[in-house]
Amino acid sequence: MIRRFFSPSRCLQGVLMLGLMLGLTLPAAAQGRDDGSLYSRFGVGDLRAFSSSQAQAMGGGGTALWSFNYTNFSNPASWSRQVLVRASAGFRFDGLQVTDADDNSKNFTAGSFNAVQFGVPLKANRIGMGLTFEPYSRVNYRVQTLSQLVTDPTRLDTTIYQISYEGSGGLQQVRAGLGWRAAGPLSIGASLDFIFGIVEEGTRTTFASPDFTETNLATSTRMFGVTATTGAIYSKSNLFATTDELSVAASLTLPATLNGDRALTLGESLNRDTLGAQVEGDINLPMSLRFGVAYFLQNRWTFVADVRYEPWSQFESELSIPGYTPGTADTFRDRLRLSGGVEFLPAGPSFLESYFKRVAYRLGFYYDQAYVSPVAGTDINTIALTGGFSLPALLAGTRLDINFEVGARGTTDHNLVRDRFYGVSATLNVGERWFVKRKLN
Amino acid sequence: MLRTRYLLPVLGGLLMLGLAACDETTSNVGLGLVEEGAEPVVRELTPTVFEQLPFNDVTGAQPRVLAGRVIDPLVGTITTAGYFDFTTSFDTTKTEPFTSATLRLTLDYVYGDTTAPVTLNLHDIDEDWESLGRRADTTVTVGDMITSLTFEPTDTLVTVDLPEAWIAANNETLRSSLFSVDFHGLALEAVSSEAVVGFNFSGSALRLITEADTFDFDLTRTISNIRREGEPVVPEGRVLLQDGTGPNITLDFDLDGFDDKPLHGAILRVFADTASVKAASPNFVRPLVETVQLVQVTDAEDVFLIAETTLSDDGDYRFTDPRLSALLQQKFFGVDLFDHLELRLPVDDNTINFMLLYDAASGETAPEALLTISP
Repeated sequence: MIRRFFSPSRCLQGVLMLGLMLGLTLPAAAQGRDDGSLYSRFGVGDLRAFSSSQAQAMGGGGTALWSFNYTNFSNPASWSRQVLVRASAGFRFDGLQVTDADDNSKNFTAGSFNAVQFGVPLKANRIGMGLTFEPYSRVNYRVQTLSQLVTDPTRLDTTIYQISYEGSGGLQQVRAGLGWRAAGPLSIGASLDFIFGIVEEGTRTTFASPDFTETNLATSTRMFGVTATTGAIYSKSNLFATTDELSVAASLTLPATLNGDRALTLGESLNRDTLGAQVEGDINLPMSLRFGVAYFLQNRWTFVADVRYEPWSQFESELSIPGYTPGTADTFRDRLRLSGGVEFLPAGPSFLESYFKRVAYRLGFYYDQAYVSPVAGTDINTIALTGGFSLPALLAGTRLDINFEVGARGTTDHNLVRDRFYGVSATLNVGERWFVKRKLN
Repeated sequence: MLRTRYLLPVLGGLLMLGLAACDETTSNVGLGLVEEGAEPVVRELTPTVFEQLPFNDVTGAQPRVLAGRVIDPLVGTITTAGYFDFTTSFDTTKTEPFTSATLRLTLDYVYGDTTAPVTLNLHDIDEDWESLGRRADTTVTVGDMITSLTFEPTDTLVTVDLPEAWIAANNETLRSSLFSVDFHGLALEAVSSEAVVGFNFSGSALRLITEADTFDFDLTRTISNIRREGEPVVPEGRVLLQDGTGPNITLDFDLDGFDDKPLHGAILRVFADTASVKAASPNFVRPLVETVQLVQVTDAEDVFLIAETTLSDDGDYRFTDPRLSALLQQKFFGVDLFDHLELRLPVDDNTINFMLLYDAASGETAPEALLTISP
C-alpha cells in the first residue's frame, strides 16, 4: 500500500506557500523601494547571486559545494547529488551607509527576497532536478538635490524645488535543469536560464509652490532573454584522510542576449503618458565562468574557495545604459569575484548529539571587483565578511539559516561614494523524502 | 530544539521586520554619480499672435440689462438697447383691474458722463422672442412707444409711471392666466444719453396696483443689444479688450521645441494700460476691467474656461492656474485640445467695460508666457 506517495508535509506545504508569497510579492515590493547603493544605477544593476543559504554564509561561491541539507544552485552538476526533495525560500534585510568625500553620510535600509528554490532527486544521488526563481540584479537608488528657481523674473518670484533621481527594479531569473552523476566521481549538469525584468530610472521634480506641478519623467526598460548554464564537479574521496572528499568544479553560463523595450513616460503609475516612440534594442550580457574547490573533512568541516570571472568589457547594448557608451572609454570592466569560506558542524552527520552541536557555524569572505566603473580607471571593489548559523529543526533535513554579511564597497575618490553595508537574511530550507513506497502499512 | 511549527512564524516575523525597515529617507550624498541636468528652467515666450478678435458677447438671460448711448473718444460710440420681460408668482386672474402701473428699475451700472441726464424711450414688444444664449447683436422688433423716461445716471432707482392708456390696453393681458404667453415685455431705447446704464434684476419690477393690492412682476428674461458706431481709436502698441460688443483677444505661441518636455508650470501675463483707461474727463466713468478670463476654443467652437484672474496692483493680469499648465502639457505631447486661446471678459457681468493691453511688440510690457520645464 502506498501511503505517502507524493504527499508533502505541512511544513513543506508552508514553505511552498511562503515561497509563492515571496516570489509573487516581494520582487514588486523590493522594486518599489529606492534605498540602495548608487552603484546599482550603472549597467543592469547590482548583480545578485544566491546559490544556497549555506553558500551565502561561506562567501557566496560554492561552485563545488554539495550537501545533504541544501540544493546548491551555483552549479547544476551538484543537483545530481540530492537525496531529499527540497524547497527553500528566504529574504534579507539590508542596511547601507553611504559616505562621500566630504564625509557626509546617509543611511538606508531595505528588505528584499533571496530566492525561491526547489530541488527534486529523480534518482537519489544520481539524477536530480533544480528550479529556482531568484534575483539576477537589482537597481535601487535615490539621490536628491534641493535648489531654488526664479519662476518669474519680472516679479522675482522664486520657489524651492527638489529633484529626486531614482532607480528601481532589476532583473530576475528562473532557472531549471538537471544534474547527472555520469560516473562515480564526475557529475555534470545543465540548466536553462530565463532572465527578465524591468529597470526604471526616473527624475522626479517637486516644488514647494502649489502653482507648479510635480513631474516624474521615467525611462522604463523591459528586458527578456534566455541563456544556459552548464557545469561539472569532479569529486575524489579518501584523498588525504579516510573520511574526506575533495571536489573540483567548473560552471559556465553562456552569454545572453536580452531583448529590450524602452519607453519614456511622464506621470505616475497608471496615469502615465508615453513620450515618443518605444525603442527596442538588444543587450548582450557576457558569459560567466566559475571555478570552485570544496574540501569536506570528517563530515564536520567544509572548506570552499571560488573564482568567478565575467568579461563585462565585452558587454554590448543597442540601448543606452548608464556607465556604458559604445566606442568610448566609458565601458564596463571585467568582473572578478573571489570568495572562500568554512563550515563547522560539530555533530557531523549524527542526529543524536546536543542541539548546539548540530548547529552549523559558517564564516566566509568575498572580494568583488565590480563590472561598473563610474570613473574610468577607478575600480569599484567590494570586500565583505559573511557568516551564519544553520539551526536544525525537528524534521530531519529541515533547517533555518540565519546569515549575516558586512562589508564595504567603492571609494570616496573622484567624487565617488563609499558604501558600508550589512545584511541579515533568513532562509528556510525544508527537505523531505518523496516518491518512497512504505514497506509496512 | 527549534520546532518546525515555530519556523514559519519566526520567518514571517522577520519578513515583516524586513519590510517595516524599508524607509523613504533620501539623500544628496552621491549626487555626483547621477547625470544632473534635469534642473527646471523658465522659458519666456512672447506671443506670436496677440490680436483683437471680433466678438459679440452673450447678453441674453443675464441679470443686468443695458440701455443708453455713450461717446467714448477711445472706443467710439456705443449704443445699447435693453429688452426685458416679466413674470409673476401671483394669481391675478381674479383680482380687480389694475389702476396703476409703475416700472421700477434698479440702476447699478454706469459707463460714461455722469452729469448728463439720460433719456430713454420705453416701448412695447409685440412679438415673442428668446433670450437664452442670445448675443449682443440680437435685435428685437419693438412696438409702439409707451412713454419716455429721464433720469440721472447717478440715480440708484429709476421709476416711471406707465400711462393709463397702456394700463387700459393691457389690463386683461396682465391679469390673464396666459400672461406669460400673451405679454412679450418692454424695451428701452436711447434717445438722449451720454452714458450707458445697467439695470439689475434685483429690485427691478413692474409694480401693478389695484384698489386693494399691490403686485410686483419681477424681471425674467433680458437681452441687451450693443452696437458700436465707428472704429475704436486705440493708442499704438495697445489692443482693445472690451465686454459686450468685443473684441476679444486671441493669442498663440510658438511651442516648437517643447515636444514631450515635462511642464511644471505655466504663467501667462498680460500688461494693462490702465493709465490710458483712467485718463478721462472727471465726470466720465470708465469702470476698470477687474476680471479677465482665459478660455480655450475648440475646433467645434466650444469654449472652456481655463482660468480667470483679476487686475493686480502692478497693472497686469496673471494666469497661474494649473489647468493652463495641463493644457499646454497635452499640447507638448501632441494632443491639441484647443484651436486657439482667447482672453475675454466674464459673460454674466454684462457691461461694456474695456481694457487696453500692451501688444506683443511692447518690449518689457509685452504679454508673455513663463513656462517652467525640465530640459
